[in-house]
Amino acid sequence: MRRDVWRVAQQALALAGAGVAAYLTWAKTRGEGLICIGFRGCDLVNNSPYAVLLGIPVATWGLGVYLALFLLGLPAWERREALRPWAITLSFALALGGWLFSMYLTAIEAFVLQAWCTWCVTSAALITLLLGVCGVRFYRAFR
Amino acid sequence: MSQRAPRPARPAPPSRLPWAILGVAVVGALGLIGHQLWVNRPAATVAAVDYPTGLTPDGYPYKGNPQAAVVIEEYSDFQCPVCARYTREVAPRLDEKYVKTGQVYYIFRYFPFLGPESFRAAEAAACAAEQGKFWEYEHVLFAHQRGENMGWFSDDRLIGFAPRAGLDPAAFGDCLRSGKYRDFIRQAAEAGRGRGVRATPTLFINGEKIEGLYDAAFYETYIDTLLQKKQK
Repeated sequence: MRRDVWRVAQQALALAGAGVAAYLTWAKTRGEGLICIGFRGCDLVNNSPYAVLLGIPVATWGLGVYLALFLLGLPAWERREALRPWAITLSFALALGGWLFSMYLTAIEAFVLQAWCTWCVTSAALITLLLGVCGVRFYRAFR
Repeated sequence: MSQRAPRPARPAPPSRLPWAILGVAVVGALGLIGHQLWVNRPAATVAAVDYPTGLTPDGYPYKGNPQAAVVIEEYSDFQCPVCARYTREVAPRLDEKYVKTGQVYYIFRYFPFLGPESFRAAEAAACAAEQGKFWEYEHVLFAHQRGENMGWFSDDRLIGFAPRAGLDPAAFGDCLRSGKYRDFIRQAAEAGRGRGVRATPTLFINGEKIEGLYDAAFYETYIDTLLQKKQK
């Protein structure tokens, strides 16, 4: 039961992250302005050269990571004992890689662009929570 | 009743493998960060120009020989991408062939028409001209042009560019914040409109208007023809 709480938390956070990343991707690819709540630099950040990685919008990479984290949290992995550790390991690895990159982007916002984007900050918070949740699942599986 | 032998459980992953996967994730993320930092590395400090420069009697930056046979006046906007291409692809060839050799007197005329950040960038460039670094600052501005009126030429960033052009940032910041060139830039834009400038870049070569961007050879042929006429 408690095992399920962490798994469901992973899915819920991943789904929220996918929503944020999908909105940023839509705005970036359609050239639409972002609704910016609490900050003024959303469009500057989303249109900066740092918002593209290997020719693909960073938000699209984020969408892929969040969707993968959602799928890796599906109950189907729980029912297959042999595959469960792999799903948990991959979840933690993706969350760790995503969190590192997200912290780098947050530093870019603070020190290079000197502008903040509500949606990017939200995404950074979500990936931080996901790192915690996936870290707990990893610890419980491999302790 | 036959008894089915229990299926052997699949072996759990070796204990080191999960840690190796985490290591790959960390190295991968750091690699991508490194790649992005390299791709977006800031442009190096601009080298100081090595030909005569200064301000015309009416306050516009010039380069080259004021007694030259050919006078080029460039109307430009710092947010205009075509102007950036002109400055990157054409101007260095004209500098090398005509400005450095004293055959051309080249004047920059501010024509901010693409919005508030164009106007602010023009004011900043006038502040750079005050410190004798207009041409260096112009190069930095065009190198950092990204999008129109999105904050790329905010006051903080305009001041942040100052050291790359060899400017004194404190004096430069004071100048920009004071707004002392606001009226001058407004009048410059008005004067451009009065001469029929509608777009940028627009050049006047010995008074003849050339609108838009052409390849460097076009301008060279035009200038060579004028120089030959003057020699006759």
